[in-house]
Amino acid sequence: MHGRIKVRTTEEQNLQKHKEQQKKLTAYRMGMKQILATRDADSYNKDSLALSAQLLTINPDIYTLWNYRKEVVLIEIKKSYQDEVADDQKLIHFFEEELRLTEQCLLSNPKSYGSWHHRYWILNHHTKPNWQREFDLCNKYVSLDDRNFHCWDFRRLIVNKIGISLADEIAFSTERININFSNYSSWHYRSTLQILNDENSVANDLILVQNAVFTDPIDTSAWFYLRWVLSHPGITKIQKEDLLNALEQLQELEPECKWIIMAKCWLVKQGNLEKDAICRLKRYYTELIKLDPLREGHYKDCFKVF
Amino acid sequence: MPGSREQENNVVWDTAHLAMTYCALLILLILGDDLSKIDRKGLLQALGNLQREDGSFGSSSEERNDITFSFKEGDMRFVYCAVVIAHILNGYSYIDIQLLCDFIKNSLSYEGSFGQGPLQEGHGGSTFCALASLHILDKLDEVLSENDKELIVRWCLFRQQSGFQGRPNKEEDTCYSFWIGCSLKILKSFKWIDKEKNKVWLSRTQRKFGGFAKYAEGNCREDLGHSYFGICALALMKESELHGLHPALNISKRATQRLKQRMLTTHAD
Repeated sequence: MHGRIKVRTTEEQNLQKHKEQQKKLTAYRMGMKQILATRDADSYNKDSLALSAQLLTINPDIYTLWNYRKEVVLIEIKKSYQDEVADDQKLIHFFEEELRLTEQCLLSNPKSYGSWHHRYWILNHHTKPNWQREFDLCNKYVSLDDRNFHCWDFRRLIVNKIGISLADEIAFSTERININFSNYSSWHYRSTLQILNDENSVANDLILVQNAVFTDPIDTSAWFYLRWVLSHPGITKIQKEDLLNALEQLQELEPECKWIIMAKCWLVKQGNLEKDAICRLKRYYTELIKLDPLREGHYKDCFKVF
Repeated sequence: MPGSREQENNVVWDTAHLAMTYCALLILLILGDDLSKIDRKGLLQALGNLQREDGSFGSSSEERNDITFSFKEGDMRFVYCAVVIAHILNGYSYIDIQLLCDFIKNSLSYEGSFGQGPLQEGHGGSTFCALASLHILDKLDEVLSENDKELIVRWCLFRQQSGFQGRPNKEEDTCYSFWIGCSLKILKSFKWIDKEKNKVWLSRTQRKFGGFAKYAEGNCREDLGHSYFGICALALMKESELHGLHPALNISKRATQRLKQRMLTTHAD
């Protein structure tokens, strides 16, 4: 009808979507066919290489294409060794193009195993890798999403390459935790730094994690780390008693917080199990069942032991 | 894996991949195949070659033009695939089990979950892969102490919000009702979850045409993967007429029976 805006019905929309998907599927199938048909032991087809970049930008999980690109890189490396003129500029340019592609893919999908792996593989073959730049890239991605474990794992791989010391990493970990106590991945990273190796560092970490749980007791992140610190044999009886008293006070401010009660359970269980301790634990588990009915079965099971 | 049968006219195929091999074998079992056409020795030899020095497994390896490169992508996912493949084909002698168990033990994090590898953050998926591997190898009690198991059970139970999350402070996702659910089953602690809340979550992610989506939000569409995990999660809770699920092998109890029968007639070497 004249004068009316054409509004597509749901059925028309679905049909349109289906057509678009079919187009993408055809392009993908043709692209893969062409790329795989031009695979060769000693040379590669530049159009196929470009096509693989296009397909990977859309879907970086096609690991076959990352592998294809690795083959091409190896061909280039071999050619470069065979060339009489010692000029690795061309090769470096090639490596940099690969890195640019992975960065593009990571921008749209920062969690693709294939992209991170390819990047690290390229860096390990690169004749002049810029590890500092990689480090900065890591920091950028951690700021964008501090739960992206690919990024933390990548960081772990490259810290050794640029000579970052353990002390530097501990300082970095402390900084990340102070920016955001709720940063679970930061706490995990800290746990891998072999940090609890003497009474001083145990005491320091106890203060750090205590600050975190007292600042935001509702968030789970620091509580698990606290439990881990408390399991260290270097924790003294006085430290445990002080913590228990502090938790009692915190509970008055946050009576609905199950983590406080759980932490009290951990501390009481670690001490001698006199009659008083068992009564206390019974009281704690009863409170926990009220506050956290989702895990009632678990708490009852925990208490059965006593 | 066609590694040993590679010829000029099939060299353009995809490189064989451990996860695909795992899927292929399970699919054959589910469909009732007796696996007699599998190149058992070839496959197991190729499997053994994929084990890394740290005990983990990579996904694939490739030799071209005398340049050997085996992809470093070795992690818990492929450890699990390798264990299941070795189990199905009765080929434990082709892999170094002690080294594999060391890798798993070294991947246990401070909070009682398994990462993809040592030092890596614990995650529901890799926790399943680690526990299922140990269970299939009958090494759970040897590798994990009672304290370890207690920590792991607690970590898993605390992933339940209504459905399950894959890591602390992350969103619930249908597939973790499977990964975490199976982990708890393996550690005989599935009974402690809140089944009703889990069912409520799964009913929210199920869409009107029957599939399951990752999240409960309306704009999140159903997909095959999450539909599979959703159904498995219901099977774990023995819902309606679903076949029981073997929590470590990731096949129905019916398919597990077929495997047992087949294994009785296959000899290990």
